[in-house]
Amino acid sequence: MDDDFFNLEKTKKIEKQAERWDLYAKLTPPFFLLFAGVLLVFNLIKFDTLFYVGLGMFSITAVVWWFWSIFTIRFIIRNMTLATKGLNEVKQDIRLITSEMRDLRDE
Amino acid sequence: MNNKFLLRALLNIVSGISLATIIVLGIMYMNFNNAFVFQDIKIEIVNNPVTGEEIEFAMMGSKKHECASTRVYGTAYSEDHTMITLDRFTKQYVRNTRPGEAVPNTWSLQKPKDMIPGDWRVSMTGDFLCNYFIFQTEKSQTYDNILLTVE
Repeated sequence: MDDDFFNLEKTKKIEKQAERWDLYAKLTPPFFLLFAGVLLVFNLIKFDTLFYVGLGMFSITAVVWWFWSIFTIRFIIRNMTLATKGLNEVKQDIRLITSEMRDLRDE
Repeated sequence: MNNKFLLRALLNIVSGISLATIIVLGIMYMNFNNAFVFQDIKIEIVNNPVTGEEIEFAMMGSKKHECASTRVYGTAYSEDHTMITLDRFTKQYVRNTRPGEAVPNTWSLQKPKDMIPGDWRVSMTGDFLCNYFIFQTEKSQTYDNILLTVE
C-alpha cells in the first residue's frame, strides 16, 4: 500500500488545518477582548457596533468551521473505508496463503 | 518541554476565560438591549374630562435598569386625524426613579389652544438613556391609546 492509497499528503494537510483551527480558537477570543476593551476605553466604538462585529465574526467562523468539518469527516470516512477494504484484501490473502501452506504440508 | 506545556495550559485557560467572558457579555447586552424601559406600566389622564388648561397624567410602572429620560412628550390624535404635540409641562414628573420598584409618577401638560372639544387619543413617548454594567444605550418607549376628553 503506497502513500496515495491512504492519501497521506491530504491527511497531513488536514492535520495542519486542525492545528491552525486550534491556534485560531485559542488566540482570537483574548485578542478580540483586548482589542474591544481598548476601543471601548478610548471611546472609539459603540458597544452595539462591537456586538455586531463580534456576532459577524462568530457567524463567519461557525459557517467556515461547519463546512470544513463536513469535508474533513467525509475525507476521514472515505479513508477509513479504503483502509478497511485494504485490510480485508490482506486478510483474504493471508487466508489463501494459509490454505495453500496447509495443502503443501499435507502433500 | 515543561515550559512549553505550561505556556499551552496558560493559553488554554486565558482563551477559555476570554471566550466565556465574550459569551456572558454578549448575552447580558442582548438582555439589556431588548428590555423595555418600564414594565407593568399604566398611564392615564386623571382629570378627564378636561375643562381647564392642564391635562394631568398619572403613571405606575417599574424600571428594570437605570434609565434617565432625555425627552418626554405626548401626541394627541383627534377623531378626524388631527395631530397635536403635547410637550409643555406645567408640572414636572419625578426624574430618575429607582429601578426595581413600582414608583408612582405624575405630571401635567398644558392643553394647547387649538385643541378642540371632543375625544382625543394620546400617546406618551419617552426617550431614555439607559445604563447597565458596562453598557449604555438610548431607548424609546411609547404608551398608546390614552383617552382624553376635552370639554
